Amino acid sequence: MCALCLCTHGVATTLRPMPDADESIKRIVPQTAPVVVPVSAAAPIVADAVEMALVEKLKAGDAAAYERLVRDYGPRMLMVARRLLRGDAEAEEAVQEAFISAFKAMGRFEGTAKLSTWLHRITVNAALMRLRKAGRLRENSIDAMLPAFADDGHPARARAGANSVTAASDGAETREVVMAQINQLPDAYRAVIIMRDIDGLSTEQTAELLETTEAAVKVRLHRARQALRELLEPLMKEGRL
Amino acid sequence: MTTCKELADFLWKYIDGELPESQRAEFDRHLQMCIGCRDYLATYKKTMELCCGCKPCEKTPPPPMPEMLVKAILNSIKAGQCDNAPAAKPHRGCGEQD
Repeated sequence: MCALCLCTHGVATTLRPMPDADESIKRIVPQTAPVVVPVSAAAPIVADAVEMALVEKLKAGDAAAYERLVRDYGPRMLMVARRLLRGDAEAEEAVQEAFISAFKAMGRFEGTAKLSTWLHRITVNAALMRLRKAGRLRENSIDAMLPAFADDGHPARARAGANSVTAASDGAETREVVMAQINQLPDAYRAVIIMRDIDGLSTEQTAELLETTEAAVKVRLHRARQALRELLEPLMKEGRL
Repeated sequence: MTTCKELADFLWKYIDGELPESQRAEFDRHLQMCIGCRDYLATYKKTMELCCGCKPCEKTPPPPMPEMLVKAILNSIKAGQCDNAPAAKPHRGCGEQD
């Protein structure tokens, strides 16, 4: 069993086809079971009584409890997967994989994390597994989006003059505009912004899930923000953000 | 003397308070003199705020999952892919007692 997870890596998982689903997504066999949850023998129980009661029913194989878990927690998991992956079909497959991983690991869930937090991390990991397997988490494709500097350290092109930066808007339209720009970033950078700034994972948790160091996460996040700033700057100057 | 490039490269350390005091003072001096870098810092911070503004509202429930997906997941469980799934329970044949 992985030191950081409750999972048994290397276990192949076969997804059940969705009724009437496209043939191409009917069978997916990941190389590893995507489950990540830090465990600590001394960790306190943080799952509440309602969650633990549900978990006990799940451990007992209660079919109604399984359905409740899927219906209650699935929508948020799907939202998380949709943010990280491009396309609904891929996100749905990741959620299916995440549930299978969660069910397999349920017997070892001890309530040291909230059930929703535990499922969230499993979903992020399932989505990252897909990006990783497709080679989409490589850090090599953002330089063209970063600010350019001359050899003497001055900006390579004249910067726009000072502008008035207003307080962040929290409207739905603003979120839509910002998410559209985030989605223009290469996946490796898009993922780190989503995990840290939107999903609210810590640097440590992000590093574990991305299988890298905390220092690397900080640098990658900075480069992602720099690239995103370049994309958002014209909209800020136009007063749209 | 700190350059614009150095400031841009290590801006995250400046914002996170991870720079040594002497280097931080140099960054402050550069920012006082360089209107372009002040603007860069402001728009970088605004970018961070806008990203955080994309956090989903916990009070707003997400849309329900497609029923097809719910059924596919439940079918996976019934197929016995999970050790503790209902379908994985041992079948009790005739004559077996609890």
